[in-house]
Amino acid sequence: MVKASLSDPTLAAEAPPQRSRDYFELFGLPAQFDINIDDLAVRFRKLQMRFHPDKFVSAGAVEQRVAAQISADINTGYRVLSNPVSRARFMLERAGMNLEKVERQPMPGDFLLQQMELREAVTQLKQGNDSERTTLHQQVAELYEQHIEAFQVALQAGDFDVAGSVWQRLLFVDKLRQEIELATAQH
Amino acid sequence: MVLLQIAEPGAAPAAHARRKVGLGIDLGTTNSLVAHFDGQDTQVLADESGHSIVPSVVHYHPDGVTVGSSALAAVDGAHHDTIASAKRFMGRARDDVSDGGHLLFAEGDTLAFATSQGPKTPVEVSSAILGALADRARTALAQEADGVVITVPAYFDDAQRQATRQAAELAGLRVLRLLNEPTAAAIAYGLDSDEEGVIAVYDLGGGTFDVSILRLHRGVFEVLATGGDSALGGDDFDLALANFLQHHAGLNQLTASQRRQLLAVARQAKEALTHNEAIRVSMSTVVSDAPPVELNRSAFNSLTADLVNRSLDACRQCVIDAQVTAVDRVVLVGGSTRMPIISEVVAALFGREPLNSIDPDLVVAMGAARQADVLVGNRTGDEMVLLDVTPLSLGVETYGGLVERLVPRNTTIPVTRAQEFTTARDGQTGLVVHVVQGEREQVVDCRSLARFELKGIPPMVAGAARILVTFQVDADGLLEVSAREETTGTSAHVVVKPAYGLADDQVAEMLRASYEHAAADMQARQLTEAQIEAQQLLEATTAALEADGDLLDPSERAALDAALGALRDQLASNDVDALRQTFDQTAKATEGFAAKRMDRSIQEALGGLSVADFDEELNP
Repeated sequence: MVKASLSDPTLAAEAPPQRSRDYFELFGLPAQFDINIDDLAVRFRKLQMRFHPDKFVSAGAVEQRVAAQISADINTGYRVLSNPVSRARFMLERAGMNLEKVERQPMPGDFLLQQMELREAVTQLKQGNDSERTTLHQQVAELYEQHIEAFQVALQAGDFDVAGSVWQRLLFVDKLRQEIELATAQH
Repeated sequence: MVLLQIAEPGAAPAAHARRKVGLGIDLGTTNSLVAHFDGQDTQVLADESGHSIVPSVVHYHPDGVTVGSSALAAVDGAHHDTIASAKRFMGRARDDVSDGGHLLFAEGDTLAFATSQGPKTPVEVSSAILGALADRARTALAQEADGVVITVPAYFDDAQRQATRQAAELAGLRVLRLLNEPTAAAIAYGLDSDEEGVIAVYDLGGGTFDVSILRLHRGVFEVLATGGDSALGGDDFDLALANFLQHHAGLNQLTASQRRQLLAVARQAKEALTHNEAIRVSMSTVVSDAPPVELNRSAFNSLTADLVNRSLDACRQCVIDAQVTAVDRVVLVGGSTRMPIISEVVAALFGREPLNSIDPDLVVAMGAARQADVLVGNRTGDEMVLLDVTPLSLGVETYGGLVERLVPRNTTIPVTRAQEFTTARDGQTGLVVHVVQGEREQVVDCRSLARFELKGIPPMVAGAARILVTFQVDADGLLEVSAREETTGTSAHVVVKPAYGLADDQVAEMLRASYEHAAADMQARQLTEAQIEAQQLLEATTAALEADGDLLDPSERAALDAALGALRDQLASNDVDALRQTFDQTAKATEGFAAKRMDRSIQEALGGLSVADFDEELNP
């Protein structure tokens, strides 16, 4: 048997596996992209008030384990559904899309070109002034909104292939958005 | 003994039940405290002479162990036998310690202090302190504690948390929860006022610094982000000042005893500057003919500016992580926040005058006492739940010594995350899962938590195996990791234990020694415990079947009944091992049913949520 050693790197990361729980069902919400975040927060708190391990300290071991798993699912579900990008991902997975494949599919040239330009602009933000930062921030925020809308339209039309492609581009736009926000916060 | 509870999940025990005793313990680097909530007030428990603070100092001598002020008094007599600040070494290994003083290394990497009574590990020292606090509570309340909540710095890593739990087990305490110190402080403040909103907690203790940002909403304490520095505390301010004083008094070589005196002088000077703008520091206790040193607050502030800035950097990062735009309240915790510069800079940073209506030395123990009261099963009237986060990211080593993060820092706990990995080489039949904690990209820069091996993978080409690695972090912030090869079902599992801490059997051995139970007694006790457990499972499941039996189809019901029957038959036997084995099988058989019941109660939990209710939640 070949025994993996320290100098023998052993693991290579793959995409996360399919999730087993339907978070929409867990939170008692219809499976649609458009959700009210405040409503979600209320449901999150209500569910944790009931299932958090603190509520099962004196319960039997089996109940404790089951409740802890539900509590963990509530936490993960809340995080997944709160963020539009991860919510979009979850909806695609739920519809049976192979996201590994989606992430690897080729992207339109003009989109990649635009991304390269924007990325360049972000890296130069550190020397930039406030107005440049605001302009870029707005530009990327609009791009983000456009993709969110396009995703919803595709989803409503039941066209998961298009929704998948939009989501693939959304990942890029979201990363840009986060980088700009980080640069602004650090400024 | 655990009281039997047959109740709906989450329901409170019957009102006529005896009020149980939960203790809140602040196990600090410099000082420790124990507090109790009696249903009305929270009291920090004092000794006969009225002192509530117990110095975290343990003195080992031929007649036994002394803890607290009397141990402190013994420092000069036999300093090697008197151990202070053991918390700094909890969960630490040889590589983590640069200046260990009289630390030695017993059995590989395990740290221990050399005393005339033999080597003492930081876990044992902490256990002695916890034991003394439990004794104090027993005397003050004239009752045994049913359970304790022990606070730890939010920034404590997994190894440090495990070590703290071990210390409590060694002291014979039932740990209800490890609670983060800043969260405890937020509970103490939050429960005593009806105000809601975003709270920032700045906690500068003797040896650690923590900052947490929480949202308080209708009894839900939701930690949004936490950060800090587990090696920054009041002691560092003392050290900076001591070096300055030594230099200005022209003192070169100091003996160990003079060095200790110098640190004491520095600490007193720091405290004197809290109430005075300028002071003259007498150095005569260090070296009899040394000249006094003039010191004012601004000189002290510039000496310690780097330390203060380190804490502020952590605060800024925490605000970014919490994604909040404003903070409604700021709470100061820890004796070190008495330094005037701290409230000034904290007020400036958050744009709020800090609250200090609760003594910063007591607030953590008081918050822990409130949480202990809830967890021990007393109904307090006010429903509360605490959602804490992981302070540090958790991941595994992947190709090229890089870290693949499974659980990012500031993830709400409990949490389960799974990720699929594959083999890197053709024909690889085994692999090592190396679990690490930290924020850096390279494994070498992170803390290694555990390493375990998954063997028996059938030979395949590189990339064909599918290995699912699952991380589970419980509500104490403690981690369990398992790995499973999906195509064959080969699996391996570890509860992460620090490699340099005590192994479970070591703890058990020490427990045995400390209880001095005869072997027969132990066996009888184990049998009784197993019988009680089995009885509880039978009764609880029977009650559950009466309530929710309709969730099972006839075949499921028959299987469950058979499992219950088997356990019932085993009850009369005197064979502990057989009983345990049957118990485990029966417990496993009830899992599916328990899960179905929980699912039903999910519907119930949300069932009460009407549109009107929702409006009220949003616009109270």
